[in-house]
Amino acid sequence: CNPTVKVEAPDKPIVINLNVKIEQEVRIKVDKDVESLVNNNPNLF
Amino acid sequence: DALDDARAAGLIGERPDGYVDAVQPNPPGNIQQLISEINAQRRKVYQQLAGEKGVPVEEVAALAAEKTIAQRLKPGMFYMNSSGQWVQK
Amino acid sequence: MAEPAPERRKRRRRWPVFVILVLAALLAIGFFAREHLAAWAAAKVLAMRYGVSSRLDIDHLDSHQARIGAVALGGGDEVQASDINLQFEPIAMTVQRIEIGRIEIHARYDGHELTLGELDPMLRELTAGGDGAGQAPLPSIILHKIVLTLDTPLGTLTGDGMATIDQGVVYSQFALSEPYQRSAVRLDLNATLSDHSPQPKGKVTVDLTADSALWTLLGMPQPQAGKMQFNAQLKAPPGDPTASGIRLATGALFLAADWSFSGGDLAWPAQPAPMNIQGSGRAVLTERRLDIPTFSVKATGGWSPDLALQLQGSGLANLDPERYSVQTTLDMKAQTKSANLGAVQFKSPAFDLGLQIQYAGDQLQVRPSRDGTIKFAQAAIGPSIKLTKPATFTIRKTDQTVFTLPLHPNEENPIAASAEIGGTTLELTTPALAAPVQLALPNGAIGFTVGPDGLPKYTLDLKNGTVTSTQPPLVAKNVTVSLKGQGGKLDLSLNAGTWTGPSGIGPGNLDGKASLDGNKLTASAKIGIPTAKASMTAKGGYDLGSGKGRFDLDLPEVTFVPGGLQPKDLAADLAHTTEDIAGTIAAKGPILIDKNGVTSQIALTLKNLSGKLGPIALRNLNSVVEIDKPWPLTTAADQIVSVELADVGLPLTNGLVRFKIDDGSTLSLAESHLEMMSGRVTLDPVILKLGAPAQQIHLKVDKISLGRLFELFAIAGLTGDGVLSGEIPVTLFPAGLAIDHAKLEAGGPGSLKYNQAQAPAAIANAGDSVKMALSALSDFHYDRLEVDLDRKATGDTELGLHISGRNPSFYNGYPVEFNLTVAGRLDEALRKGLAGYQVPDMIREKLKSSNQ
Repeated sequence: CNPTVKVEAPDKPIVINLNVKIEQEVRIKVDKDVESLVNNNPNLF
Repeated sequence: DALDDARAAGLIGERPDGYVDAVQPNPPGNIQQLISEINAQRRKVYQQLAGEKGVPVEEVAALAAEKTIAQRLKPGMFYMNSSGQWVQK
Repeated sequence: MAEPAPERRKRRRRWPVFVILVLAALLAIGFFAREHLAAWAAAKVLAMRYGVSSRLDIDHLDSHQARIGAVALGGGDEVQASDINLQFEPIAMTVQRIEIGRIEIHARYDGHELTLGELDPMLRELTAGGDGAGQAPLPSIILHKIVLTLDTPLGTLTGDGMATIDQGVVYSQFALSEPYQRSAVRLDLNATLSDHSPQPKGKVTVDLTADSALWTLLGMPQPQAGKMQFNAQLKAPPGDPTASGIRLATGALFLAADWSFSGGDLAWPAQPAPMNIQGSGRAVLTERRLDIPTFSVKATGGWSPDLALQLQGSGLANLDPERYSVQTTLDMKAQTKSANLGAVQFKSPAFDLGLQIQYAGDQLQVRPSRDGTIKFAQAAIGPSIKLTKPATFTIRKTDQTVFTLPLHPNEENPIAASAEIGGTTLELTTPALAAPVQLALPNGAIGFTVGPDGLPKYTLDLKNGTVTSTQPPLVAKNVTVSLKGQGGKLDLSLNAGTWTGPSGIGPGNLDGKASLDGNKLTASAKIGIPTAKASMTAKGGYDLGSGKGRFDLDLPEVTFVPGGLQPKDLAADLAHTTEDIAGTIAAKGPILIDKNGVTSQIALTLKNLSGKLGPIALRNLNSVVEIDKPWPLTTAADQIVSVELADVGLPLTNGLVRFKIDDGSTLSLAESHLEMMSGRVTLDPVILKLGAPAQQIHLKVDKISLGRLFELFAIAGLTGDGVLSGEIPVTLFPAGLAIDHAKLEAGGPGSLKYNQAQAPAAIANAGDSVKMALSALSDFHYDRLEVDLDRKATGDTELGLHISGRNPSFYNGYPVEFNLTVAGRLDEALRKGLAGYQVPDMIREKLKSSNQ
């Protein structure tokens, strides 16, 4: 995963943005299988 | 093929839950027929894949919806957003 | 003392003379007393040969002629004749002429047969001839006056007339009458006896009133009223003049005639209405055979006042008294305005049958010689069930007897009929059902027997019929019906091999019994759905008169098991809307039928149901749903269901939802209360359409715990206090759901703590900037906190946390705005339920009372 951080000047409140992505391996695999399912059945999807 | 023609004609759209549906209410007979056929076949392949992967079938279906909307729909075709409105790509 | 020899000699010489003298005397006496001798000889012959006593007074007898003053034959003088004149040819022993001045015949009819007392055997013998043995030409016979008296149980018939048979020409006139003009018969005959004679002329007319004795004499049932007129015109068939005349000469009687009859207002005991009938045809009487090559009969009235009957056909009768039989083949068409058969009234039934009828051995047997039809325009069973479309029953052609009518029905051989009926379709409507029901009946057998008690017992057996109705959609296949009826009572058993009902319910079977007494129908049935090993009983009654009925249903508990019995095994359509269901259902209560349709008060018990219902996963759903209308499914108002957990993307728990279902397609949710993360959730009233592409429900959330929310997101190490309120819109698709920009806000200030030590690996080694950011959260006091939440149909959920406040130990409390977004999946976390969930009391009470 690749969290990103930005820091701004102090005259305004400090703004902190934090993005966290919780990945599951199961999902990644399923994602690929679904992709091939969709692309291998052109008349169905 | 029939599905693409119907989608191009704006008669059928992709739903986020992985199935197709009529964009206008009470569609003509042949469209209704096509919708139930396509959905029945999709249900079968979703159940099969979900069974193999041990993942809830609705997840497979919803993922297929994302892929289909992203990769199969051509501009101008309809899909439904999270708040249930029909939107043109 | 001995005579002197010469005397003896003289005497001996004289004795031949003596013999001749005696003979001559005898001859003289014989000659003069020949009449007495002949009379004596004839009487002896008649007595010994035929056992008939007789008296004859012969006035004159010579070699060519005899005059007989009077003859009386039979113990009771059954036949008396006077001034008879015979002319005969002594050598050829043939009689040329018989002339009788007056002949009186006194016969008796004892109700069964005509008898002339002692003369019967002789008559039978004389008439038994028939092979035309004697070829001698007939003498000419002249009967100047014939007088007939016939004693019958109904009084004496008297008749008089004359007849001559002279040189092959027959001429006769005869009239018979009964006292009080009960009947009058006139016979005029003029025909020649040779084969090549001109057209014979002759007419018989018979006029009968109801109480004439001739009815039973002619073997016809005695009417109570009305009159009948019959006449026959002796006429050779147009194309074949030789086939006419009376061939007495050859000993064979041959009579061809056109006949017609007409009867007015004839009333018989069994017939509800007087009958008017007329008919005509042709008849050829030869020896003992009466051949009717064509006949046609039209009748109105009789079985029902407006019955119109037409018969056409041909017939053949064997008149030999021992082997008396009649055979006829006819086409029958009959129409009437209406007819009743038990509780069923038929409108304008029309019969079109081709029948072969056999009367022999005291029994009438009928068989359809061609496929015939019974049509009716409409029919009604009681005032409420109507067959609106015209229907046709075909009666199959067969060689077996279909209908037997014994002359004297008794226990062993009652009046009986059984016919195979061919395929027919009926359309049945009743106010209770919105659309007609079609009954397709490919074949069956109908039958009835009438015992001596006169009460008809009828049976109807139908096999592999199909019943289809559209509202509700129901198809029942290989339906067999067997019905027995007597008088107004009827018993019926019905078996449906497979039926499928609305929303794919079934395939099921049905075994039912019913009985109909007058208008009251009582029925009970076992209805099973084998795939679901479920079987339900239905018992109740229906009143054909008022159209009101009530059937109590009882479906004992059916338990669903994930991987085992599932709702889709009960109703196929549930395959798309239910998944992995566990729990138990049962149903009990009456179905009520009346003029405006079918309603019900069925309690449908749902106990500990869990699994996926449409897009929503449920756990422990309990309810007793009152169903007001079985189809389209409609519940009573304000039904309540309790549920331990409902996963709408977020875990709603301990819910009590008020709802109503209408027309099987509309689910109206009233304001309902659930809980979430130890806060209250209120569901806004909404009307959901089954199968709609997408619809939204709005959840108003009040004071849910921030800490529980973080727990849900499994952000290890992040804790916080404070409660959030706001609104969560959920979009429901048929097979999925999405949370569409939920917005929650903290009610007031609170604090957040983040313990770096517990950060998941991904964050822990994510680089300095992340570390710095997280350290800001180590002890953050917020004064404003907003949460955005989005969940896609795939389950991917994004939580946006927007906090403004300060952390005393971060830039010594300089104001910080912190935006944390967490993306991932929540679903696994949602599956666990509430520890110690209790089904609410009000629902538990209903569950207990429903399975009494």
